[in-house]
Amino acid sequence: MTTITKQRRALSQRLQHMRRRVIDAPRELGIVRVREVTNAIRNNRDLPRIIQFALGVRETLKKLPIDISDSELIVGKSTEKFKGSALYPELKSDGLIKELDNFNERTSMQFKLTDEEKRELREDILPFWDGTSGFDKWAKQLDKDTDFLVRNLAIIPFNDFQGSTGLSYVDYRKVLENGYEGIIGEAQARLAGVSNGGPEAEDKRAFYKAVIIAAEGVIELAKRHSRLASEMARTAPSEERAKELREIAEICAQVPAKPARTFREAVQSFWFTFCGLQQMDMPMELPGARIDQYLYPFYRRDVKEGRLSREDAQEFIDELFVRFNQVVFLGEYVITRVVDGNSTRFDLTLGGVDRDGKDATNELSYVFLDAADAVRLLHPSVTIRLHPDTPESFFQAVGEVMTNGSNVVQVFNDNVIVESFTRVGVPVEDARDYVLTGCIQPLSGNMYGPSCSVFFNGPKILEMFLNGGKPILSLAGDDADMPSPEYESWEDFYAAFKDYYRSVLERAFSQYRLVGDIQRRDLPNPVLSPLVPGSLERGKDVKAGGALNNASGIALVGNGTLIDSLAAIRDVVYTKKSHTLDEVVGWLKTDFEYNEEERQALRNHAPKFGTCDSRADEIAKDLVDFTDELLLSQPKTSRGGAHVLSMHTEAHHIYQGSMVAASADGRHAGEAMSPGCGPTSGMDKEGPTASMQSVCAMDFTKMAGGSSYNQRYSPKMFDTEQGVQAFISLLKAYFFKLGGQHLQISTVDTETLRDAQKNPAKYEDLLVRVTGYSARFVELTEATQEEIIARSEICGC
Amino acid sequence: MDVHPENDMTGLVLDIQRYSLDDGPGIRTTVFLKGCPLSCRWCQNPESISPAPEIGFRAERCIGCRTCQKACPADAIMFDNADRIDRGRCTACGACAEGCPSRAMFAVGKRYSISKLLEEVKRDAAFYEESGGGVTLSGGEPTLQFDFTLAFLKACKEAGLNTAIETNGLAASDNLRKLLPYLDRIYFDLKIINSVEHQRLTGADNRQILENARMLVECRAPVDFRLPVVPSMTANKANISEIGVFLKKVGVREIGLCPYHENWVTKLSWLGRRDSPPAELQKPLTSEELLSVIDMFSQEGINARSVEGEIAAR
Ligand code: SF4
Ligand code: SF4
Repeated sequence: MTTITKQRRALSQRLQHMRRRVIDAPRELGIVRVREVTNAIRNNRDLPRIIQFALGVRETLKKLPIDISDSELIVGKSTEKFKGSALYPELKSDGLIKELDNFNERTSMQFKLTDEEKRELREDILPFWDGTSGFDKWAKQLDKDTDFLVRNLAIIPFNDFQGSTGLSYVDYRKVLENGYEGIIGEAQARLAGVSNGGPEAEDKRAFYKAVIIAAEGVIELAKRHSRLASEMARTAPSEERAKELREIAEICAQVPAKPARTFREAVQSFWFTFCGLQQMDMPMELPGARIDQYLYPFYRRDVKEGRLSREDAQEFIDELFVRFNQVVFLGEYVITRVVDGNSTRFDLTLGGVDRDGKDATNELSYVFLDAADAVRLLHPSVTIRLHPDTPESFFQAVGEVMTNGSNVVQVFNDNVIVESFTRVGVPVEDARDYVLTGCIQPLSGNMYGPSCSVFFNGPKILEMFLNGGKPILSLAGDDADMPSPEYESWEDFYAAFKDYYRSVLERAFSQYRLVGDIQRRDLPNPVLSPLVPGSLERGKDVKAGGALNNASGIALVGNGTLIDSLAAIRDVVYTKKSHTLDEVVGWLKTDFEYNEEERQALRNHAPKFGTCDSRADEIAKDLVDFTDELLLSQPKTSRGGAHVLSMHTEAHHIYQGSMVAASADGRHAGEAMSPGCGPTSGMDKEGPTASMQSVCAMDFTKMAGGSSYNQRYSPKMFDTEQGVQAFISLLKAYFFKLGGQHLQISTVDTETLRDAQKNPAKYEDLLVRVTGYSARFVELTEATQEEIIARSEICGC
Repeated sequence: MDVHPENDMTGLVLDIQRYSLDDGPGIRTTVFLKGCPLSCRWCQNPESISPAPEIGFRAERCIGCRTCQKACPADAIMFDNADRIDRGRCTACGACAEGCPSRAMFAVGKRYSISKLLEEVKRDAAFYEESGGGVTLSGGEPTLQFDFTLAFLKACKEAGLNTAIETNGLAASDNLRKLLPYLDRIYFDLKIINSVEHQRLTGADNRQILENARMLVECRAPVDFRLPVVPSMTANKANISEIGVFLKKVGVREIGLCPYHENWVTKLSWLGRRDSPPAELQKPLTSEELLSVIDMFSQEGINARSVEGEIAAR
């Protein structure tokens, strides 16, 4: 048994400095983008929307004030601010308009903007979007029944107006290999080939023209950096920096216009592409995709030809990691709650199998993993794909980073995800090429598909079912005291519940179709589309179904709470028959005010998901099977794709939980619900193996939308090599023997978290995994902090 | 010998702990059997000593609903008592624990049949397989329920599970021998060599224990010796050097160290016990003390290591 004494790799001086700077910098609003896009629309009223957007993007990238700071080797920013958020009122503008005065002052996730900027937004820009954003158009056509479900948080079908449309497979390789000039060339050729006549041909022509205009913008952004670097080289403080600047000038003259010739050019080309993509669709969940794969040919060639060492590559990648943290997103107040502590989800996907099913882990996989561990910032989010043939050394490296307290990576099981996609008709090669987007949403190769378009709140739906279709708790004033339903048997009860659940979901789907129509008509994306295979070939925007594969996801919130509540009702009302359904519902209506004894019994004696109790686990399995059938029977989405199920919650389980009445699992009204797909925090009392087996009662191949499963470990579990090896075995068994899909762990003990609540200044670097994303613990709201503390601490004692 | 067919035989189980990492290789499930012939002053599981079921009470969980009182057939629940249970009257029937909504009352010791216990430990088979783990029988002293232990280990072996036992060594040598074919590993506690001290601090003579230790080494059983490192009681120069001499005499050069933890002290009140342990047992073993024990062993030529891993590195 050896004790681990491995030291975390220290960053270079240069990067320590950059890291500090990005942490300390305030979040700011950049307004150039919203100004230019709004003007482009105002000044070109007769042009198709996609061309208006493209013109806006090109103008933005032409005019965005740029700079190159001290020691940067990778250049370019997505806004004019050092750590900046652009604004996207075309998606949803009401929150921006209402809260404009608060962004500076609010307690969580503040954003700075000057009085002058505020004035311009208030007087000139935002009025244009008042009532005309995509969300407004959707909200206007909302029917009464759906509105009722939405305002009571039973369903949230409009996430596509709040940033989830960045969930897309992105083929960065195309830019690295052909350059944007190549893309322009392809678009021109296809434009010339569009046959005359008809509205469809018009649409295609507009699409190609827009793609060309937007691509010109990205090229222009790079050229401007090239010129700036040349100028700065002449007055550089040292010859060394002058040389670096001349190199930067040369690189930016080459990429992303032309193909990258070296690893460094490839990294820079990626970064400009990424900055360009930031100009549309509030892409807070835009993936970096399989970056260890598409950069590898450049890496290998440079190393072979002696131009690059692994250490040099590490230094660039470390810098890239820091740079991601300069892109932030302003969210309205509600968003700061549901994405508590961190709104950005730039995912890098490492390892996994290639399109032929062979292991694709390479040296860069290790370089990126090492960067995540050494840099330890919130972004990018790093996802590791694992499969039975993942090299043991990579398993070891991943196990080490997962258990060392950095809390920056999550892992996915290739076997399960590949099958989940082939099940819904994705070709197996594309399925194997999946990337992680958002928090935990896998997307197959060549797929466009926001997988968290619709949230639905399982416990709320149960609450309404138990109360004659009305909420027991409602901030919208819809609460009512209705008679509870009566059923002879559990089977009858459960069947009726599923009917109700089905009717709510079907309403959500029909609403989502309306969202998709608005997206297609009003919110095309000429920057992203050419990088999603299928779109250029078909001459169709991704929002119009241009991608080769399409999907759209619905996300269940409160899975564990729902299962435990149903299992408790079955146990008490139909198995032990100790109380009637009416009595149980009565307790819920009064939030157990007179029934603490009953509440304790529900918490401590009813079956609990996460303890390997078949009475709960079989409900979990059945609900997934049922939902899956329901999804498969739905008409395709407006983009022609399947609806897929996901179980991830970000911080929705806490925010939405605050508006759910008491539940039959013994939870008080307003308390957090269960996170991700897992058990209720603190209820998985039998340890990690039992919890994993419960979770794997669900068939994850029916969850192509992804899931998040969280565990928290005491750091002392990993003080020894034996502890780390046991964890790696645990993970392998969970994935490859039980069929688990996802795992992320936070390694931190309760004592530390309590101390951090009291002394936040001491813990500003402490990261924890929330659900599918990391956040700084001290920046989380108290409710989320408490939910994380409530998670069972696995400590082997 | 029990007359029932083996699968109907029951044992009194104190606890089943899954994902157990300190009781043998890999991921294990440790089954703690209730009852122990020793009563060490430092025993960290005082609830494991009595071979009979008991009832525990955790006052901080109680919501005062009095369900327990209504359920108790022996009238043993007293709300005006500091300890809720009149232990003189209580028959440990468990009715109060069953009814207590908050689990303030809880059964200490549950009967399991061989088949039920086997089913329980087989749940984690996938994890054993992946990690090279298995099942560890611990206690109390598992050999005290010898027939059950033997039958259960046999059943584990038939199910293809890796097995280990943690024993204090106080058992008939013949019994230990009978278990050997069904054990992949034996963790054998050596506590104190001086027989007077042993008697004083554990309540039993150690001759049989030392004889068993010798016997196991002689018959080449897969045995690992372990020392519970208890400040002053076992962790003193004289004892360590005597253990060293003993080990060398039987030809063993290694020992595992189990650092003492003090957090069991609160458990006494759950069992209605008012006594409080001596001051030296109210604090944990420090890493300096552990290091000095390792040092003393190495002066004896014995390689000693903590079974919980070395001092925390982070
Ligand atoms: S175990 Fe039985 S006798 Fe003892 S207190 Fe509880 S109910 Fe009464
Ligand atoms: S039943 Fe439990 S909670 Fe109620 S009074 Fe008795 S010990 Fe307390």
